[in-house]
Amino acid sequence: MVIPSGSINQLTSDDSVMSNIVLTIYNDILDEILLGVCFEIHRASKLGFLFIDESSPKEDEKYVIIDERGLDIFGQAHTQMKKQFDCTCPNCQRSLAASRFAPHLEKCMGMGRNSSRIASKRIASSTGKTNDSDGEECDNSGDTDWNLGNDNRKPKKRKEKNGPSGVGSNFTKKWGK
Amino acid sequence: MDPVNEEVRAKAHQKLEETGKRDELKRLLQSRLVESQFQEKVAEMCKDYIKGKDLDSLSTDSAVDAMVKNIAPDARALVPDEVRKELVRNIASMISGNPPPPDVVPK
Repeated sequence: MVIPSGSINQLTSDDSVMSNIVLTIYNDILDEILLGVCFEIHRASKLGFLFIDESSPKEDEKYVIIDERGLDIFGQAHTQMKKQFDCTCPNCQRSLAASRFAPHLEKCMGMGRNSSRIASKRIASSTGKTNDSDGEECDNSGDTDWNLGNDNRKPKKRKEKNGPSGVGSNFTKKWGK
Repeated sequence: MDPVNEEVRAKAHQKLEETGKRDELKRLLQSRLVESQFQEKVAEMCKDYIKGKDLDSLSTDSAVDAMVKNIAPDARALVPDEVRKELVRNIASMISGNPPPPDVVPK
């Protein structure tokens, strides 16, 4: 049903009535927008990301960017930066340079190859010794093991390579018949 | 509102709906409110309101209604005067079918 505009104008000859109606419609539209905002906020709070971008002023102070000569943005002097980062090995409690940590861990914990067997043996045999020397030995022996392991592996590989091909040829022979 | 006025309001509302003017008005108001950072302010109000509540009270069905009811009076007052006037002018002109007077159309 289409209402001719004249009918509304006739009915609303009174200005105050007209402005009243206009205001109600305006408030309706505004309420709809408010409801939209409220829905958004309510959803955010229910899902728990409403206050996620807010941090306490204490933390803000901690991460304030410092703009001074000779200091980086965290306010640390340049010389301090050169200090190497140390990691503590969870296995032997030694502190190592971060760049050496991964190779050390591999040897110390005996990951891979036959070093694991030797490492665990060594740990078992040298429990009476001091921690530091124990770790040192462990690390060094690991190095030699690794090299030895490498050398030992070469002939093994060859054998492995020969193995399957030999089996394969047997198979073909069998199936060929 | 008396019954006659209510009828006129309903008719005016229906007319705006049918011609698609209501959506137009809503979009206009929305864009004006975004320009004036109104929505950020309302969001801040909502946050302040929520901060005083515990999560359980927000889980009820009427939580959003309660929130709207709580912030609506302040939020309405937050709408900039010129935005409200522009909207009222536009609504009036759309209901009566006359274009808004050119001298009062802002921007």
